[in-house]
Amino acid sequence: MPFIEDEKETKDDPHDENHEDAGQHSDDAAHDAGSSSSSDGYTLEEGLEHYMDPGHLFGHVQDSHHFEVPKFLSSSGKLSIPNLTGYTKENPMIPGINFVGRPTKFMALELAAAIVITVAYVWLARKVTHEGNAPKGKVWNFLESIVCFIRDDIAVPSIGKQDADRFLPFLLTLFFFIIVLNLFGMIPFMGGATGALGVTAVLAVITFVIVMGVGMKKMGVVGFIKAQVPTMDLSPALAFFLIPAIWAIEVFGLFVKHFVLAIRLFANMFAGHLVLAVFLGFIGVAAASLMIYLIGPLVVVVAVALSLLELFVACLQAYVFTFLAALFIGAALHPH
Amino acid sequence: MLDSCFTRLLILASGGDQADPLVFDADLALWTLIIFLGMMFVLGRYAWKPLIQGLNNREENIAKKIEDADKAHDHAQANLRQYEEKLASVTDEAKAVLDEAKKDAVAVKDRILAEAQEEAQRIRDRALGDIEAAKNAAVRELAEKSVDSAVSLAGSIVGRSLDKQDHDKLIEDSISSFTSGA
Repeated sequence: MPFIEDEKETKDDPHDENHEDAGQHSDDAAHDAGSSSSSDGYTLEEGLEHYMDPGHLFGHVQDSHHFEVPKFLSSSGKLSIPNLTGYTKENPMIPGINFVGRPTKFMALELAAAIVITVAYVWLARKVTHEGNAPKGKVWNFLESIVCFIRDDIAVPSIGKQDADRFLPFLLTLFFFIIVLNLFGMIPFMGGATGALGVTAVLAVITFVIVMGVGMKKMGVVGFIKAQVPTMDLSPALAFFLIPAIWAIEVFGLFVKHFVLAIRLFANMFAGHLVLAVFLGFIGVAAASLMIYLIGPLVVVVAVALSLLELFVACLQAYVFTFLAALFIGAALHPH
Repeated sequence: MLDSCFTRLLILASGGDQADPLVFDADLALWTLIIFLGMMFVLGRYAWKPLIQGLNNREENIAKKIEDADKAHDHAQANLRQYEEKLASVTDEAKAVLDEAKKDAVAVKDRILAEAQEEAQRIRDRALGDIEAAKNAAVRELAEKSVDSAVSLAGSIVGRSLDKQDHDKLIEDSISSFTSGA
């Protein structure tokens, strides 16, 4: 394990007189659990093994059957979601197709997001309907400005004024679902459900179905399929070869852009959280040595900066997903 | 240290079978579908539809109010112009009335002045006539007295009394000499 050696070289000198560190001067001691153990009882090597293990890191980012909570709430640091259905991975509800039938953390978060959004906007809708015209108060203005933003800056420019209202319920639901899940990911002890392909893929598939449905309703099934090729002035011979090729590329592109829709959101959220997990993991690794006094504060600063970036990305990706969905719908309605 | 960590991460990520970021959880996908469609239904019915309706109503309302305000403004402007015109015409009328009144007053003044002058002239003429008559009477009386005294004087001079016939002759002569002398 060469990386262990490297690390000791860098940190030997400053901590010479330290007792706890003294043991690490010999290679043997470093490999023992004895002399320098973190609060979890890991040596530096074990810490690296544990905290930088992809399984461990991904475990923080991916879906699971428990919430991670402070240890004073639960001695294991985990708050399990009750297995309401009784199914497990070993004993799935529908064997063979990866369907277990057991609630997970992300399902709970999605439900929470749905409840939060529904409560907020049903309340707002009642206010707008019953309390007349001018918005009053911070919450009302805040909630309403987002709706107006989606309508005036996303739906109307992409889809057109007369059709925009028809797709607003979908776009608004999509935007709020994504942004609330993204922001849940920024709250400690919750989790980023949009960092799971299962979530983003479904959102992309729904978008795809709506885009196809809209196009086919507008132009007919054959018309929509034909409309994938832009009209071009081509000689018949050239057209004979080019049009099928272009059609194939365009149809392929239609699938790809929706697939990318899912991947973009998933990758952004997953990667952002993974990077945060890695940086925070450094604290666990360094806890075994006095390097913690250097790395600890540094990691906290970096983690705060990254969290701010993630906050921005959370909003940006919700906007991007909604905007692209609106663009695709607009393109299906008004081809080329 | 960072380097070695990432190296380790990459090695394990590529080889580790328990860590697959692209794992597709069918449970989660189905749940997401149910939640999303449920949200679309509930929100679409109880939130987005009334909300967008409300926003559109508000927009229409505001647009209508602005239009109304514009209309009211135009109306007020037209009224103002009308009143200004009316005011101007009224001023002209007033001026005309005043001018006429002035003209009338001047005419009345001239007439009164002329009458007064005429009256004054008449009074003076009458006074002059009276004075002339009085003067004539006085002269006549004086002449008669003079005749009487002259007669008596002449009588005494002549030494005899003049008879009635002589008297009358003398008077006639005297008067005629007076009148021709006067």
